[in-house]
Parts: sequence; C-alpha cells; structure tokens
Amino acid sequence: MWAYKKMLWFPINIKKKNLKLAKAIITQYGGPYGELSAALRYLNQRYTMPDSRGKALLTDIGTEELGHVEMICTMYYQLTAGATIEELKDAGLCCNYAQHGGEIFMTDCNGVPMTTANIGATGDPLADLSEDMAAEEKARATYEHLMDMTDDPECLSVLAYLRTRELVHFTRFKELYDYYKGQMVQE
Amino acid sequence: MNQKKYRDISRNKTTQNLFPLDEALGKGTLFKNIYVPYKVDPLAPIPGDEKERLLLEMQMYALAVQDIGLYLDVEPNHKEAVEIYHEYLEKLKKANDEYESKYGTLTKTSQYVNGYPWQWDKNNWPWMMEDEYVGL
Repeated sequence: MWAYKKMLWFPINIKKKNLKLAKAIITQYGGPYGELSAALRYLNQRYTMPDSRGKALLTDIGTEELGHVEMICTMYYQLTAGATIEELKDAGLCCNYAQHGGEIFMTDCNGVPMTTANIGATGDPLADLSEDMAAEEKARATYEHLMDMTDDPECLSVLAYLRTRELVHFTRFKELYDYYKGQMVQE
Repeated sequence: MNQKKYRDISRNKTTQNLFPLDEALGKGTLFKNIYVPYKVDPLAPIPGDEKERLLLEMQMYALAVQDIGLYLDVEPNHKEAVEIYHEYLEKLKKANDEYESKYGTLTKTSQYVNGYPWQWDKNNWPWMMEDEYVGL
C-alpha cells in the first residue's frame, strides 16, 4: 500500500514562465534517466533482493523517486503556466499541444514516450545494483545539463536539490553493492 | 561482534559530519561526506510567511528522516543513527501536527480530515501556484 501526502519534498515556487526549459526538463519525467523510470526500476527490482537491506533500500528510494516525479511535473506545470499557443509553438511544444493540450505527458525532451524497455531486471542483485548506480549517475549528469541552461534561482534551487539526491542514492546503492559483494567473497 | 566504525554519523561529531538541518534541505542532504556542489551551493531556503515556514520545517525533518533512513537501510546496526532517526521523526510529527491544525489536512487519515463539508480537497494541491484558484 502507498499513502499520499499532499506536500512536496522541496518547495517549488517558479514565477517566471520558461517554455524552452520546460521542454528540456520533461525528460526527467519520461526520459531514459528520468524519475519515473528510476521509481519503476527500483520498485520492480525490490521483490527479489536477497535480504532485508536490499528490499528496504529499493522500496525507500523507489518511493522517494515517486515524490521526485511529482516535483518534476510541478516544475513543468509552473514553467508553462499561462502559455499562449504562439509561445508553445515558438518553444517547439506545438506537437505536445496537438497531442496533449495543456496536459503533462511522460516523454523525453524530443517527445518520445517513456519506455520500460531499457529497465534492467536481471534477477541478479549485483547486476541490478550496478545498473541502479549508473542510473543515478546518468540522472545526476542530466540535472547538471539542465542547470547549465538556466540562471533562474527558483529553478536552480530545485534542480540542485534533485541532483544531490542522486549523489545520495548512488552512495547507498554502492554501499549495498559492496556489502553483497563482500558477503559473496566470504561464502 | 566486531565493533564497526561508523564514519557517517556520530553524535559527538554531528556538527562535523552532518549539515545543520535547514542548510541540509537547501543542499539536498544531511551528509557532508556525500555532498559535492555544482554551479550553486545553496543555503537554507527562506520562508515567505508563517505557512511557508511551517512547510519548510516539515520538509526539513522529512528529508532528515529520509536521509538517515536510507543510511540505516544499509547500516541497520548503527544504534546512534537509530536514535537520531527517532529524534527527527518526533520533530517531523510535531511540525506536521502544527501545520495541519492551522492549514488543513495533508493526508486522508489525519485527525484533521474530520469535519463537514469534506476537508480533503480544501487546501491547494502541491503543484499549484500560490495565487492559483483552488476550485470548488
């Protein structure tokens, strides 16, 4: 069971409309290194983790990522609030408008819908955790690229927060990976 | 059992190992040994009004509980970290209670969901802008 709490992990109050940035940020919703992909990856892998540490860590990080999905959607929602059709066309969001109107949809920044095809589920904890570490690094790199493209402090603060979470998750996955590897050597 | 050395959290060295909670929220982690800034090095977010101050307080404790919780998932035998976890969890509950008593319920199982008419939909959804119309 999951329980919804009506609050964000981190305050988001974006007042400056920025459609081009919104178009780029959407990749952290439905792109290959996005938050939704991360949440589904960990929540899918957790069932067959060999012990409680793995089940707990993947459940907790997967759940946190669902909250990050909400943060990314909030950023997109606020960055596009009040946009006219002309503005959407200028920012390259005309196809988005044609297909989805003002609704947010899980795509990468080229409009390619999210796929689960590249989510690793090997049944091997070391292989899965290596992928999770890589996923966190790829998401960190993506956040840095997004930060390169804006100087709006209201966006930077949120992107910086989300980027740091990738560092934390990477560290914990690595610790679990090293622990499992150590266990195997002992056996 | 071998006494394991824990480097990440230690009560005596808390100030050395962990960021102050408000700054941790700005940066995105409590753990100094994990944090590496990029482009900006945020400090504590500054609240606009009392409602925002209480929300920030909740977010601050929620992050602390999450961060130490993930640490404990991989270091479940670190007693001091468990104690610090419970300390922050108590503070989170207190801040949550104060917020909900003043500004409305955040979960459907909260004691503040009581009352007629239906209270769950009466405050803003988290993605909405400050001045956005809540609707009926």
